[in-house]
Amino acid sequence: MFPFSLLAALLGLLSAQAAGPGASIATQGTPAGVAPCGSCHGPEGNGNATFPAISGMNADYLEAQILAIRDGERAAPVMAPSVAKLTDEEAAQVAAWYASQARPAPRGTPTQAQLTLATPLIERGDWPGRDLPACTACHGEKLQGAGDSVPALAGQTPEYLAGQLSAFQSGARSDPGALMSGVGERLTADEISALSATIAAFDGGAQ
Amino acid sequence: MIALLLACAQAPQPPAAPKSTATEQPEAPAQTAQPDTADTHVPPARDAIPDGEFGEAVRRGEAIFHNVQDNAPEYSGNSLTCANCHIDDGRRADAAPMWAAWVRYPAYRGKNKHVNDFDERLRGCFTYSMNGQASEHGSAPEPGSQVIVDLEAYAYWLATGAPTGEAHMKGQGFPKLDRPEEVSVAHGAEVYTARCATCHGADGQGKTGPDGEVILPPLWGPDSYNWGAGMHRVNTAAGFIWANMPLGQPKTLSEQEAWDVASYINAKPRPGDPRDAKGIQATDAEFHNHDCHYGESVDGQRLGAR
Repeated sequence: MFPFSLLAALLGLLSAQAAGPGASIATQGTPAGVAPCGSCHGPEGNGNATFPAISGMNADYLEAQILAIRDGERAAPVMAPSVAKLTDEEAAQVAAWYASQARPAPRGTPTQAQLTLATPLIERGDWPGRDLPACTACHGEKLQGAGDSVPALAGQTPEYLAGQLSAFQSGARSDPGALMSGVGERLTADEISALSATIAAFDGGAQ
Repeated sequence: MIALLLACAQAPQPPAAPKSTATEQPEAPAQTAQPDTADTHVPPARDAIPDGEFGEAVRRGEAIFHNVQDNAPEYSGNSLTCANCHIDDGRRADAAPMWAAWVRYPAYRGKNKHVNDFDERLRGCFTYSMNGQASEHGSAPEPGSQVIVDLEAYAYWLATGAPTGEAHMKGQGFPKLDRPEEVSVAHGAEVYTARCATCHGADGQGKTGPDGEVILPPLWGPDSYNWGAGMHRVNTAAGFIWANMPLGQPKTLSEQEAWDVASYINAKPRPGDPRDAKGIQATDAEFHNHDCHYGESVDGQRLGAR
């Protein structure tokens, strides 16, 4: 038993190292004390209700967020201590590793009522009444994310999406230029629920 | 008045020093100002496009308008699409709505000094704003071509019930803002960093998705509008920006900030003016007698170089 688990651990370590330093950080953390990303984001980086999916996200975006959280520019009380000792180079390596992984498959099934409420907001927004831009206007027609500042939404869990929209709405999550808090404060609770369910199940961005 | 008649390169240079307010961080508004849409034209609902051949043309026109790269790629000479400036797919007042444009043509245009029909006006957008000279087709679509007819069908449908011949429907074009005493490129750079760069990039080149697809549009450089586009005029851009940008936060910049950032964006290199046949100086004198930076030297580069 013991030799087998030791062997498995060794093999795991070797395969992670063989896959490059990014994979090693993801699964093992770093000697300086950075926690393995997978311990919160899941072994495949697919996220859960509390922590976001990070597999298949733009490398530029992941790297920018890791650095912003490490440097205190984005509030993330759970993650900040975990990445305090991550170097710039390691951040780039682990971001590239997760970017190279497959994005999670669509999740859950929205109700027809949720689809009816959310789809026009996702594709067109609500003009002129609320000056609400479509989700796709910034996140892309497949909700695939853009560059270093706009995350992919496809592949996240409905619980995580709802939590973030609510955090934008309450101001708990800040964002550059208040672009998303401005959106959050104009959404109703029903819309947040419908958007979260519909976006989580969105299949346009699956890889 | 004399200043207005001078070509751009001779226009007064903006002051180099940033204004005293430049270092203040703009605060997000608690609530976005509600648009004054009380008595503007309301186009038909999106799902009210009729069935049949005409409806099909409207749908194609809407699709082209929303995404030229995907739906009329041979005429796309940059990374822009109509809906980048005509917000909400040409439906939004104060964002050059297509319903207000439809009813004001044919009309005389000072830009080309003759009466333009709507077809020619649309082709002008392809020539300048879409930089048609760099497209696969090499120029705007031909008069009466399918792309033009489809866009006409879409504009006509949006204008359902609007008064033909009314050249100044409420919400037409972009708001005309009084020019401040000073317009500062340097202050505009700070406004840009604070309010624009998240989406359009610190380098102004927009943002792309994982496969390099354009999602957020570039504002200058080879993939943006050229020196003949209306948006290169500082006053035009100031009105557009003030009423529409950042997207979803209209009228949260002051008018001064809108002017300054419009001047900053339009003092950057971009594709040459397709009308330039005799060099920058002659083109400046003939076509740029308005508020713009064409022909000026910036960072050792002559704006307008082809």
